[in-house]
Amino acid sequence: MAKKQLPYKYEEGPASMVVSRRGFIKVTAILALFIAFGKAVISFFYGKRHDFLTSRQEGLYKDDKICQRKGLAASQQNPTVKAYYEEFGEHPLSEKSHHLLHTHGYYARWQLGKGEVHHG
Amino acid sequence: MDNSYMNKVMKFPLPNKIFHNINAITWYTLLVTGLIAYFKLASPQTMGLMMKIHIWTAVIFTLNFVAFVFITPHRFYMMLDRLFTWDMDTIAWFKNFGGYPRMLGIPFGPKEVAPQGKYNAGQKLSYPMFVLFVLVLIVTGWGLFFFKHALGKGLFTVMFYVHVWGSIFVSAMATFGHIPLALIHPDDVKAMFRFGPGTVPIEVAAHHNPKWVESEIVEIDHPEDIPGGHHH
Repeated sequence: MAKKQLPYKYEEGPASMVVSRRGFIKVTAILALFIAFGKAVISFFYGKRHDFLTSRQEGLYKDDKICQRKGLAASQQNPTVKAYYEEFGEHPLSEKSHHLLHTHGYYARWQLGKGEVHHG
Repeated sequence: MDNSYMNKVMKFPLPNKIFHNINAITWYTLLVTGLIAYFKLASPQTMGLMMKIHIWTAVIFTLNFVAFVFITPHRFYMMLDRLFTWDMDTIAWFKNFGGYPRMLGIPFGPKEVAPQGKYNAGQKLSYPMFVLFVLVLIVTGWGLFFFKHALGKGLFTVMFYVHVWGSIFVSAMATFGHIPLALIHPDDVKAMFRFGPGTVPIEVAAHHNPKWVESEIVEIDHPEDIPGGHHH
């Protein structure tokens, strides 16, 4: 009796009448192809990112080896830095060094309109 | 007795109406907020607000699509099956582009339009693009939102430009193609947007979608139609 309320006389047949077995396989295959293609595109560019990261890592290790061979593996071994503190900057973290070496001008770019970020 | 139901056919069932209309409203909200943020058409504070609206509207946009696909997968499959089924009449539609140029006074092709199903050939070309882009915009949008620092420069750039320019292209198709063509079919517009059943007169459906009416429609048994059935 509930059907009496329906304000129409005709409707679409059930999905099984509209979508054949062949149609079901076709639609599933097309969806799978689109998803696979999308995944391939993302993997391609993501793979490139991985290449950039690993080649940069290799370069850093190579530079590190060169520094180690020359006895410059840490900043306190660097004669220029040593000379700076002995003749000019007093000692690491001194007031003078803080003002001279501390950088300003960092902006949090992910927060538009927030201005310069102060710290230290 | 009210016999007005006698000539009505359900063209847009409730799940389809809910999906279509939420999709349409959120699409244009996302378009406006996205354009303002991308082209910097407001102050930084207003752009920040626009992005907030953009993200929260995107949540509704995404859930709407996911709900349609996973709650009514049969409707999703019926739609895609119709869109991806091409026959000679679909091809023949292009002889006169469904007679639409004639409406504009351009006598292009034969007068007779090849009979179409629920979707005509033009819809079969454009709707898969709409469906695809709903998915592409969801994936690129949330990718950019959650993984912006992890994507790498290459993938970020690709996703960003596909998201921005892809959505502008599809919005242009919807605004200058889909909407004007829908508006010249008032029965469809009423069926889609009225707060009530998505029905159109059967004569209208038989004229525009003869193959749909012929092969995919069933008659419902109303108690009034059955001798000895329910009476008022």
